[in-house]
Amino acid sequence: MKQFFDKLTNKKHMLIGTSILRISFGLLILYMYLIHYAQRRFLWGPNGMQSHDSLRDQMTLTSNFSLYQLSDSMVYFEVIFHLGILFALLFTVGFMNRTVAVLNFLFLWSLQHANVLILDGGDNIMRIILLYLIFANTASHFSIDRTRKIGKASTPKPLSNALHNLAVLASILQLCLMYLSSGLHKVMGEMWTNGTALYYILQVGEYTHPFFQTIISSSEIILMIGAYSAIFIQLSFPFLLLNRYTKYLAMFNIVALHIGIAVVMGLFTFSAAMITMQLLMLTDREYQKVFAYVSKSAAKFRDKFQNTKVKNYETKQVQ
Amino acid sequence: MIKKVLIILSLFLFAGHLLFTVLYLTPFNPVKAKYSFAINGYMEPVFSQNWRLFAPNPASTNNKFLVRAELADGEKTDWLDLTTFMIEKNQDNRFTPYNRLVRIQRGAFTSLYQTDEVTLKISQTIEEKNLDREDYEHMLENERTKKQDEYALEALNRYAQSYVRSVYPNKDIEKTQIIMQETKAKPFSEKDNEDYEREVNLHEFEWVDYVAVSPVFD
Repeated sequence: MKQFFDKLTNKKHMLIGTSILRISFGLLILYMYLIHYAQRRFLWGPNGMQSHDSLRDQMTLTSNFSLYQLSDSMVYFEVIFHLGILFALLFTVGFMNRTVAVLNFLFLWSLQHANVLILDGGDNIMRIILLYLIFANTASHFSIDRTRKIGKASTPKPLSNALHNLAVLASILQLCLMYLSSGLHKVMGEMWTNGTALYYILQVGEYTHPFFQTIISSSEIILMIGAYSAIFIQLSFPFLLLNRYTKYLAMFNIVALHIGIAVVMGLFTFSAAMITMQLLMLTDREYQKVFAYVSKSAAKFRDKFQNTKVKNYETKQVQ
Repeated sequence: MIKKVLIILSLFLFAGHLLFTVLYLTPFNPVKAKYSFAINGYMEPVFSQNWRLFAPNPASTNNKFLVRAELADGEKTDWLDLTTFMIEKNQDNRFTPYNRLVRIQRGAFTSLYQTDEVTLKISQTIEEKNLDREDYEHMLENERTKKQDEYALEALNRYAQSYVRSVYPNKDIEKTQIIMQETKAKPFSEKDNEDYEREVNLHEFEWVDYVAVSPVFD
C-alpha cells in the first residue's frame, strides 16, 4: 500500500507520452477546424444543418451544453469558431497549458455537440481523453511552457503528481475498456463470428474503396483472417499490456488494425485518433531510449555524409 | 494532511468512475437492465461513448438520398442525387472535406432509427416472437427518441435544401421532398452470382417548405 502510494505521489509518470499526445490531438483538432473552414457555417452555424432553435432544444433535452447554443447571431458564431481555432493552436504549442487545456476542451466539446451527426469514434475518444488530461501535465516537453520555466526550481507536489498519474492511468484503462467493449460486441454478432463481416461492410459506399473491395472480397482466407484478427486484436489488447514485452505486440496490433481501417475503409480521422492514443503507452524511459537511438543514428548518418563529402573534396584536390 | 485526504478522495473517485465506465460499456446484462438509469445518468452526457463500431452486426445496406423541388410556378424539378457524388469524391481522395461530409446522410439516417439498449431489446423481442408492434408502441416510443428523430429528419431536409439551392441558384423554390433508395447487400451465398438482383426499397419522405440554409459549398 505504502509502495503504491509512493509511486502515485513521488513523481509524474509518462510525461513525454502525454506531451506528444497533446501535440497530436492538437493537430487533429486543428485539421478538423481548418479542412471544414469553408463549410463551417453549414456544419455548425446558426442557420446550418441544424437550426439554432433545434440545437437549443436538443441540448436541453439531453441536459447538454454547447457554447454555440448561446446566440443565433452569425457574428457570435464566427467569434466562437475562431476562438476555438486559437485555443486548439495554443494547446498544440503548449502555452499556458493548465488554462488552455480546459478552454480547448470546452470549445471542442461545443463544436462536436453543435453537430453530432458527423462525428466518429475518434472524436468520441479524443473528447474523453482530453477531459481526463485536464488533470495531467501535458506541457512538460516540447512546449512553450517548458521554455518559459527552464531554470525555475520545482517543489514536490504530491497532489498534482497523483492527479497526473491517475489521469494517465484513467486514459489507458479507458482505452482498454473501449477495445474490450468493441471486441465483445463483435463476438456477439453472427457476421463477425462466421467471418463474413468484411464482405458486407465493404459493400457500403461510405466504408469502402472499389480497389480494396475487389481484392478482399475475392478471397475467403482474407475475409476470415480480417474478421477474426479484428476481434482478437481488440480483445487481447488489455491483457497483452500486462507484460512489458507483449506490450509492444499490443501496440503493434492496434496500429496495424487502424492503418488497415484508414486505408481500406477510408476512416482516416478515426484511425489517426486511435493510433495517436498509442503514443501514451510508452514510458519516459522508453521514449528516452528511442530518442537516444534516433540521435545516435542521425549523428552516424551525418558523419558518414560529411566524411564522404570531405573525401570527394580531397580527391578533387589531388586531381 | 489535507493533501493526503484529497489524494485518497481522488483515488475513490477514480475507482468509482472506472466502475461506472465498465458497467456502461458491457453488453446488455442483468445489472444493466436493473441499473441502467443510474449508470446512464452518471455517464451521460459528459462521458457518453459508444464502441459498438460495426457490431454486433455491421452496416451492409446502401442508402442513397435523392431530392426534388417544387418551384413557385408549380413545376417539379428532376431528382438530384445527394449521395453518390460525395462517396465518389471521398473514394478519390480521403484528405478532403468529403471524408466527413459523406457522413451527413448516414449519420442522420442512423440517428432516425437509433434507440437506447432497452428499447432495442424490446424491439428485437417483438420481431423474434412475431408480436404485434402496435401493442408495444407505448414502450418503444418515448419523448426523447421521438424528438431526436425530428432533429435528424430536419437536418437531412436542410442538407437537401442547401444542395438544391446550389444547383438552382436563381429559381424560386417553394418546397422540397427527399426520397431514400435503400439497396440491400448481396448475400455472401450469392457472391459469385453475376445475375443476382439486389433488393431495392424506396422510402418517400414528406414535402417540406423551403428554408434558406447556409450553403454547404460557397
